[in-house]
Amino acid sequence: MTMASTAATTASFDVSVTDASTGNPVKDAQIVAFTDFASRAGASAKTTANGRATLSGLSSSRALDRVYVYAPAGWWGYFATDTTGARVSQIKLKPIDVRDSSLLLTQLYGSLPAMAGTGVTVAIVDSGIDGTHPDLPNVSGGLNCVGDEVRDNPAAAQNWRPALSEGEHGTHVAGIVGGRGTTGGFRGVAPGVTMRSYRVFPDAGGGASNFDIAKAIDAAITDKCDIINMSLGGRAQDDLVDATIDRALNAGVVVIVAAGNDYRQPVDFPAAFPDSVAVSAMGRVGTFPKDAVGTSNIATPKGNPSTKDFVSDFSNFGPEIDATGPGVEIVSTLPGTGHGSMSGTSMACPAVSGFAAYLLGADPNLKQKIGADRSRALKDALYAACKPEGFGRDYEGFGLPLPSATS
Amino acid sequence: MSERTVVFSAGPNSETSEKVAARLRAQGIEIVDEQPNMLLVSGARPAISKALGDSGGWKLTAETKVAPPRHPHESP
Repeated sequence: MTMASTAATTASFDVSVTDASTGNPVKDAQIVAFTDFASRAGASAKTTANGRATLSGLSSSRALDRVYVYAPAGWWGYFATDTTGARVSQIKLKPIDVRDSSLLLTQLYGSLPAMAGTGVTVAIVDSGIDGTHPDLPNVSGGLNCVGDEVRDNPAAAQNWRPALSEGEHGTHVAGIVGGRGTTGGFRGVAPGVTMRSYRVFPDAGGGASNFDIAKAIDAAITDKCDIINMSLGGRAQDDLVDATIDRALNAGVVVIVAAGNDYRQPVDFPAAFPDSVAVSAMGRVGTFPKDAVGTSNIATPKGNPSTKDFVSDFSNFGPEIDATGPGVEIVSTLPGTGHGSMSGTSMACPAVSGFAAYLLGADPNLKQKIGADRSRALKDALYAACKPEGFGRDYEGFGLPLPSATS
Repeated sequence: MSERTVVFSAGPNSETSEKVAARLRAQGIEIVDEQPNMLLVSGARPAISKALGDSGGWKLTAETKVAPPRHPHESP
């Protein structure tokens, strides 16, 4: 090895991450620096208790294509392009304020009644929910559907709390559907709903079995849920889940599914099944800080006439899309007591579920219907409430469900 | 974990899961989990298919996994 190459491999630079308001160090911020984004060449490191991280293999003068900082609960992330290690050596993260009226969920759905969705039950088929979060008092229970955890230990069926590995997702999704914080605090789309957690992602990490997903859907039907939210999916078409969604529809239950985050690939299954309501993800410039990670998700097509609105770069698309929802830098609940921002069709889907719950709760005629008549009528009402953003049919389906379109 | 197969009801007029489970067990098929509309079974697919016979409205599919939600989170 030459001296030059030794120097190159031992180069490193430090990054300090602090709270922009207090100057206090921020622990557990994940810094990802790319020298060549196209080939994903670069380095990453996580800040320790002193808010510092060392990125190895890169010198501070090295040109960086992109830098991402994925923040822990309570802060917005950070994004920069065409920079250097020296220029990003001190990063200040802005704290998230759940009362900020510019948040996208608040802009779109903050005008809905404080108890929108009362009398409606939404099933969250996901990684489990933290029902002890102060903003989620309306989580009434659930079921651990992970068969491999429950078969030898029936008591584990009550473990519908967040999965021990990668378990944040379901709590964030639940907050979007129906978070119910104190007055002036955090709220989801339909705070009046009752939510139930059907956990399908295992404690040990890894994927969810199609058998467990089908079991969760059947359990939600048995528990008389009105709407099932599934912020999950993949490329494999599965007849079992298709048949189970068909059963849900015939029981009057509408199944709303995320289209997937594969950067403009075809719509994932089960979203792509004809009986599902498939949801893509849109965003709005100005609803998150300019230097937040969401800036990297701004892409065409833009809205018309609202050019601040855009279809996120990661959202899948295709003729199966039925609606679009807010999915870029969406602030919601995280396990424990905190809040954080996440992006994905996983976030757009529960916004649409929450809106469907609002429609169902507000229309006694809809609630009176039973079976397939009810699910068809609720889907029709949801689509009628959608306002085209001008993205095009394959990107937004019927459009973005909005209160103004229903009044 | 060996490969597993899901035997599931695909229509409203299908036989009950109890009947289908009894038929599979009688043919020596191990049933891992039994739900009202589906059975998770272990063993060779051809043997399961043969044991299932012409059970009205029941189908076979492999047990598959859906990956954990993948967020737009870049990494080197």
